[in-house]
Amino acid sequence: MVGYTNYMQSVIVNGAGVAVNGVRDVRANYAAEQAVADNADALMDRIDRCLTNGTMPAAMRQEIRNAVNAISLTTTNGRANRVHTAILLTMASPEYLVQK
Amino acid sequence: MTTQASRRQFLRTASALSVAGAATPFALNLASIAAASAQTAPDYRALVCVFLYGGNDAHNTVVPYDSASYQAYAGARATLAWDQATELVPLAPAVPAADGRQVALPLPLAPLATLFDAGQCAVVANVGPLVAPTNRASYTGRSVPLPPKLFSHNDQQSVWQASVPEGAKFGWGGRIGDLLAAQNANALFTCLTPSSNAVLLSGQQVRPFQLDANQGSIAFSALGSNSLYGSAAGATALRARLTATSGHLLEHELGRVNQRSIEGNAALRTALQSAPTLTPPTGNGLANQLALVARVISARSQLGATRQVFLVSLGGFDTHSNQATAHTALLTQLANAIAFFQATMTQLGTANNVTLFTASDFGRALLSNGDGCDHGWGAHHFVVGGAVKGRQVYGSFPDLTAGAPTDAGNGRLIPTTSVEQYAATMAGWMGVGASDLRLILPNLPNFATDTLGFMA
Repeated sequence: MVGYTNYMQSVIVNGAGVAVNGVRDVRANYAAEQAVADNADALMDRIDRCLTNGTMPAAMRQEIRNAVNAISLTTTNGRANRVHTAILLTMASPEYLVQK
Repeated sequence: MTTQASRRQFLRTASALSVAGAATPFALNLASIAAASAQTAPDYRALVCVFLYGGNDAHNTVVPYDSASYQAYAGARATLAWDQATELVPLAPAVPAADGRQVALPLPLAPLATLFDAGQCAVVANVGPLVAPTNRASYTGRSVPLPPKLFSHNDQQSVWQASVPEGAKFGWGGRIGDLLAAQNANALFTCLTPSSNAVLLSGQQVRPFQLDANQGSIAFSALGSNSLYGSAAGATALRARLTATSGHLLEHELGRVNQRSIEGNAALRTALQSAPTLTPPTGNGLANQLALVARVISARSQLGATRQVFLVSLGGFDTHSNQATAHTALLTQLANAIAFFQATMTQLGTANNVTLFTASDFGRALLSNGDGCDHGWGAHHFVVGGAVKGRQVYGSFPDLTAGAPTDAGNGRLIPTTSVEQYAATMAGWMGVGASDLRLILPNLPNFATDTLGFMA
């Protein structure tokens, strides 16, 4: 879990694969998530739909939502940081990792 | 120590391992169990397995030296043979072999010859996986059960470590840990490795703890820096998510595993802060691993450890080709690393408490393939430490004549001593009771003696 979590922490931001000129060639496009990053509820709706198929428990959703809201939108990369945080917290959660 | 008491305590500590309370500093706080076990285990004991991945060429590791034996060796090895006059260091056992046979170590292993002569190192000759005593006649006639999948790397690594081929769940190091973890205040720090995971250290209860050469153990990086993507709140939430409780059994268990990992990591780092800084030989990866093991041993009191099993490893021994260069470099690294470790143990005052031993997939064929040699079976190994009855060759050093009773073909050795006897000797020293040895090592009853007598 340590290796997985540390790896995902990097992959979510930087992508995976071969780096060309310092940019890895397999990267996720989070434009749709960043578009709603100013609204934590809308962001959580989308994360829940994409990653947990609408099954995210309320307490888990609330914990992640609070962490998202704690990130200021006025800082550089504020929107990106909110999206990355929401995705990693979901992907590190036992509720996400255990197949059901 | 009685076996019964040990089992009872084992169950107690093992259950503590699986239901550790959420808020307690789990790793350093099982003092009551430490007090209970202190009565039965006042001293510290540890085993350190040095696994030589690839199959070490034992024929060029411990070499026949008396004239007749050396001629048989040199004739078969051709260009692979060490030169008797210039490349071998003869060993002087405390009691010379009755049949007049002598053995030597090659120059790259000279540091081990020094330890041998000082009584801190023993050679165990021709040891390997066996189901029952086997010789050339019963091997070729298939009249005895044989270990499965002989001569195969991954399977024989597994058979060495766990008595069964690849896919094994429990190794004998981990099973020793299972039986003795009760003596540790914290069962988490029973089996540890800075190497890649290996079945040797997996028990039914005890799991191998991964050590990291740079930091002691590997942390969740966001928790270590208290910052996830620049946010402290994110790091706090990550910790909460990783260790979440759940009504779902598997989810809940994953949360507990993560919690143990986080707490174990913190406890180990704290304990290692007061460990001495060591300077292993430069450019020696095996010595770096052993230095970390030595630092963990030095922190045994803080970790609440009285019985530990470690695994370190060195790869590259599959010398089908380029043997002269590659094997010389590997043996040099091995001997320097072991000599460094033994000197460190003496310096830390734990030389009598720690026993290091070598293991490998298999030995190799005696016959040269022109540039190296191919997969074999039995092999010679070293046991090093203050508690070892050193300066002696244990077991039976093989006759290397073609067609000898130990020849499985091409000079691949049929072992005359079982890995299980080798393991049982060290498990007994660790405190595993005589009857429990046969629980850990299923084929042991097939051999005349359970143990080999090389431990004090």
